[in-house]
Amino acid sequence: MDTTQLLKGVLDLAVLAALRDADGYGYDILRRLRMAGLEDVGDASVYGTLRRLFNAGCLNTYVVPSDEGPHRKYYALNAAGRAELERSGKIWHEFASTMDDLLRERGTA
Amino acid sequence: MNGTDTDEITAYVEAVRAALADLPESIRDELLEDLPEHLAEVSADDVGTLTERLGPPSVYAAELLASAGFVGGFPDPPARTERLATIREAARRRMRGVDVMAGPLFGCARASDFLALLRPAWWVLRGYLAAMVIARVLDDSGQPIGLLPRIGGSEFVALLLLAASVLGSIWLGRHSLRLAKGPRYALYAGTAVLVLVAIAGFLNADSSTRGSYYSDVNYNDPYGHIRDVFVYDKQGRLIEGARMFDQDGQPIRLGDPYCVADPYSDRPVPAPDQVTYPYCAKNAPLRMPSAADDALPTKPSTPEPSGTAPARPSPSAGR
Repeated sequence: MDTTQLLKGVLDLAVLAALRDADGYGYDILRRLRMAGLEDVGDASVYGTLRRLFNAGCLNTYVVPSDEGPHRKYYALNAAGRAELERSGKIWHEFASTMDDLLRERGTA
Repeated sequence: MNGTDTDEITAYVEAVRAALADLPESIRDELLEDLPEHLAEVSADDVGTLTERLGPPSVYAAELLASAGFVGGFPDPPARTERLATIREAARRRMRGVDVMAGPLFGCARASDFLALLRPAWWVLRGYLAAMVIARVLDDSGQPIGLLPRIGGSEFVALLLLAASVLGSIWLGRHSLRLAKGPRYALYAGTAVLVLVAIAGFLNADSSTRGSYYSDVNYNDPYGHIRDVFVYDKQGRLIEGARMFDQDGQPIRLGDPYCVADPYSDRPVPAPDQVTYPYCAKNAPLRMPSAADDALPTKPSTPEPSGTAPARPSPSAGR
């Protein structure tokens, strides 16, 4: 099984979760995901997902000037984003526990 | 960040942009809006060229497209057609359920199986309806067409047209599925018109068959203007309470019984087979004084002046 295939389905949820406790800019979010253990996540995927979530109305953005380097566009969860995070998180928990049960049954059989 | 970095970033973004050439320009611009700043963060963080770290621009573009989908502007119309498709699919599923449920009523697995059996009968009927419409359009003789597609009152033409039209309709029915979209839709539209014509024609024929007492004034009917009938015997005496029958014993109804059905009394309108003529004897067009006096004794059955008699007694002049 390929982690990149699994990631495609949960990338939205992963990005929303990475923004739950703190706002972040694109590369920042990528680093958080990789530090959390999603090493296969691609830069383009994170950037594209941020654009899509923003267009879907789940994220707000604001620009923070930076002394060294370019201005950074920060992304922040808004109310719709938090609702989406909660909804998708619930679906994920159910799905994951179903898979766990399934694997346990097969393992003990 | 130095100049080399900037050049590299610009080149990389342009390569990604080129790989997304299929996208509408506004969507592509929006998608790539923040990419230079984003790549600047990437290149500031670590060693190596962008291509080493992110892969070739074409792969990056493909990944970006896959994760971002069609952003901005675009999603609305597809979403709407998707919703329509969902509604249509739900309706279709419900129809299928009804179809299967109604099947046993017709002794088939599905009601539509039975309707499919009726298809050739519909083709014949459609041919007849088409012939009627053609006759109605082409006929300028002014005569009533009747139930056959007569043109100029000719039965021969009617049968010829009917045969051709029915055969044509059957051929169309057999080949309609092979027609291109345009002609097929034209056929459906024509069929819809025929169905409307059929309903109108049926209602028309139905009402004329019932022959309502106060039937519509028909301008071709030589008796259409008649309001009352006066029967005289050989001596020129007016016969009152006359009843008239045709060769089949059916009462002949003519005129308007307004005199009998007096709106100011409770005398009911006589039933059709109880009608006697004249309705209004006092309006007799010919009245010879002597004949009228002689006629008086011959009408023992004149109704009582009291308006309570429900029907007149049968007059001797009837049968």
